[in-house]
Amino acid sequence: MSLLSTGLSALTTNQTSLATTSHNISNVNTEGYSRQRVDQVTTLPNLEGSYYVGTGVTVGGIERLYDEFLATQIRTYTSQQAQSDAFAQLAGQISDILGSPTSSLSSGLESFFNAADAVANDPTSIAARQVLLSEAESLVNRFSAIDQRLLQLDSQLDGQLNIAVDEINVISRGIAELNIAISEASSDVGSQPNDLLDQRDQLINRLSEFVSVSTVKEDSGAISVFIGNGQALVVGQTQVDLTVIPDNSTDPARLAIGYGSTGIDISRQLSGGSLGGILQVRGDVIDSARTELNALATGLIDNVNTIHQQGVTLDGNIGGNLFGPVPPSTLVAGASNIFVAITDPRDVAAAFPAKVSTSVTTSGTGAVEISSIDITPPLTLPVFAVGADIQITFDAATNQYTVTDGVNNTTFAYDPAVDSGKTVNLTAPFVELTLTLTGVPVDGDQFTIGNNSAVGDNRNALALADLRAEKVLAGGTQSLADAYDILIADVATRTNRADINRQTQQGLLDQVESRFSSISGVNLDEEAANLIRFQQAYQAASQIITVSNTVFNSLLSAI
Amino acid sequence: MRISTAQIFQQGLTAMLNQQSALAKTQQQLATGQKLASPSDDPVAAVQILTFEREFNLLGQYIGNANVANNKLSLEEGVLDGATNVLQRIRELAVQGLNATNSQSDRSDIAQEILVLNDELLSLSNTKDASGNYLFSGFSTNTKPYDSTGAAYAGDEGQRNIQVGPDVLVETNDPGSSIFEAEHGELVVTDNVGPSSASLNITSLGSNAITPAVTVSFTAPDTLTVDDGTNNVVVSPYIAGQSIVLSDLNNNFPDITLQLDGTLADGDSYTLETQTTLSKTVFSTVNEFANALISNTVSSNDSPNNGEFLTNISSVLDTVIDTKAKIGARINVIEQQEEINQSLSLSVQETLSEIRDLDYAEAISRLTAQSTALQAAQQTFARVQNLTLFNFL
Repeated sequence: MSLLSTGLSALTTNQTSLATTSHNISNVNTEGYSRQRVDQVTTLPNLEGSYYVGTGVTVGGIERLYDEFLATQIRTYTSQQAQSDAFAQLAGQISDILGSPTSSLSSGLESFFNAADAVANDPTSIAARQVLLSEAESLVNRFSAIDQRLLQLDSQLDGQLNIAVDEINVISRGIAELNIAISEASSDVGSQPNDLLDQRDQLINRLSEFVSVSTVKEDSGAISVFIGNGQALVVGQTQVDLTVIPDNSTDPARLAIGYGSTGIDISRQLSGGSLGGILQVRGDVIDSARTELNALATGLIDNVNTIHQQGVTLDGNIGGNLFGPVPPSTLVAGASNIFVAITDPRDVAAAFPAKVSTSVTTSGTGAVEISSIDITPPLTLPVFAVGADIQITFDAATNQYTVTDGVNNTTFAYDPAVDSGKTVNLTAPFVELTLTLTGVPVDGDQFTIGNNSAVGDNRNALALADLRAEKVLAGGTQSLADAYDILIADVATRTNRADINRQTQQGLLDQVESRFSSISGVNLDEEAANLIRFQQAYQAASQIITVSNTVFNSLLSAI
Repeated sequence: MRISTAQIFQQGLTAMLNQQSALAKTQQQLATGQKLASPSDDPVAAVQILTFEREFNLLGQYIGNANVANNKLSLEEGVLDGATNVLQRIRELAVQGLNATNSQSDRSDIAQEILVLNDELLSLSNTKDASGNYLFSGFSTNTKPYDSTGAAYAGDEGQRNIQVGPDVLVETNDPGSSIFEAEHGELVVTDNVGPSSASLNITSLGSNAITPAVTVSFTAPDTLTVDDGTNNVVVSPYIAGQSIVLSDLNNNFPDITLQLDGTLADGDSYTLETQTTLSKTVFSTVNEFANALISNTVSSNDSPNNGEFLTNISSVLDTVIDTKAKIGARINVIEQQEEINQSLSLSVQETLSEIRDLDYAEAISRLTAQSTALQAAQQTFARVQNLTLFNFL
């Protein structure tokens, strides 16, 4: 009797093993599947007289080969990799926009200043002036194109945030549902619903692609999932939805992540995953690039206008603003609002409203040049009232120039031996000018600074072209082109770093995944061997039944 | 270590994908000929490329500017060459016209030629460039520098600079006032009101200006006093018609030979002085000279005096030649700067190429290595995927 039941226990147990092996083989390509193994244990022996006789084998349980620690590591690295990946991709797009020769401000600025040079070469040429205006137009278009592209990316990010939040909600609901199923299934003694556990782990892994998560396992078998700095997404069997809300902290026109029904903004707390990458790109790259672009546009407007306003147009009027808006503080809405403020090429102010003439008696090599004219308050024509021309006369005895405009007098020192190239500022009550003094004047040499409306004057165009290399931004440390270079370098470096980071995280993830997989993954060769092993055991057990039958028959025939 | 089937597959696949992406990158580099596809590939190099490209283009702009400046200066030089020839011809004719053997009609003929030449000179000074701008009117390029009388300069003293290098500006025009005008001196003899109707005649006049003024006074009965304020020489006895050479009396006196004619009376006195106009156009000077030739009033006694004409014409000629020398110097500066710019441009281009351009030999051998690696990955994948125990069941 016991022989038959022992054989039978072996048959059923090995059948279970075969079934599990088949299950493993079937799921060889199932994502997140952990291989299972049947624990075969001996049944309780029977006490027969003074001996315990074995009664066969039974299934002790079906074990899921799984390493909790490695699973957590996988999630961590997945989150970090996904964040770097999202960041590198988006920032890469931005650095491409900034660096592309067709849209780059660098070449736009270059063409603009070269056009100013061309006007200086031929100040009366309408064609050269028209080219300057066209290049100015093309420059503002580049500003606008880059800013628009950044804005577009920003609004694309809104779309991605929306999708990510939806996905997260679906996943977290799935986790909560699986928590319910797992708690119910686990209430039986010891046995666990392995496949449900796999599904839940898989969902948590997917969640970690969106945002970095931490988990706490509960006694019921449920897992609670937290994001940010402790915001619960799933607690046991309940789940909290994320929502998209207007981003009131920066720009209400775009989206932020809200938590639960109250919709508290938790964007700042979230990190990791593609969501973390998106939020990081928005703060570190898009916003800062737009701010920098704004500063650049503001610097361009301010500096070009300052020079242009001290000049005189072909028609003899004071040059207005070349770029708008004025004041540039209205640019806060974006650098794309910059525009060219003049349309008529004759309105390009290439000349200075003042000129220096040398008195006929001047015999030294001394010279006085106007290097700039103060435009606060704005210039009005004529700059010098009738009879108020400034006379500058050199006095060799004292090595100084005396200055008079008929009413006011002043002097400034000029030692011809050492001072050539010196600049001096004439301040109120004089017309405010910056003068450059050169050469060796002779006693009594006289210069007159008076009105000028000559069309062939190119001094202001030269001043404009000079702006090309002048360090006018960041407290006089960067030229306009420098500032743009720095912006590109910043974005490119961040992208580069994120890309390297992504590779590192990918490497770590690969390692951990392969370790995890070496524990939990299905090996078909192994399963094939198991198949043979359990088949042979099954065949042997069948022989036990045959033997038991033979034994029983021989007993019967003996009767 | 235990390896799962999925892992073997994944490893093979990852290896192939990695090799493929490396190969694609090399292929892109070979296709574009550039090392960087995006600034983020190498941020430092990307910014360097931008900087060097800017430098390169700026040098190109300077070279272009230098061409413009060169053209403008060459044009001016050409015009001034013409002016030099005209002035030299006028000077020759003036010398010829002053020749004492000329009759009035000869002088008149010469004067006609001089007037034609003067018109030519005037039109040269009013030359316009290809864009219709006057060359010699300073910044007032739409103002004709000299009207038909040529008496006064209407332009200004502006000089346009063109940038031909960092901090190198070259003047590309000269105002007419600094070319066609010169200091102009005229000997003026003043008859300080004296009692008689005697006259002072100059028979020979040196080329030096007479400053300070020299006063010749007669005191009865026969004393002539020559005084220039510091030196005082008395000639006694002096009778009317006697020729005296002032420089012989005192070597501080100018080189003038003169005589007093007529009936001399006590108190007769004459002052001789060169009066200087600081700036007078060559056109007016030449015009006046031609008119003097026509009216045959070019002797030492006539005012303005003939010697001064030659001096004036010569000094304008000198100014023109000086200006040409200045233009030559500027063209030299431009050419030197252009050479500097060209060689800088070349070296910037080389540096740029080193940073930006692909080393084809290296890239092609890399491509070969990568495609070999990809093939190996594909072959091993295929081989390993075949290995399964199920084949033997």
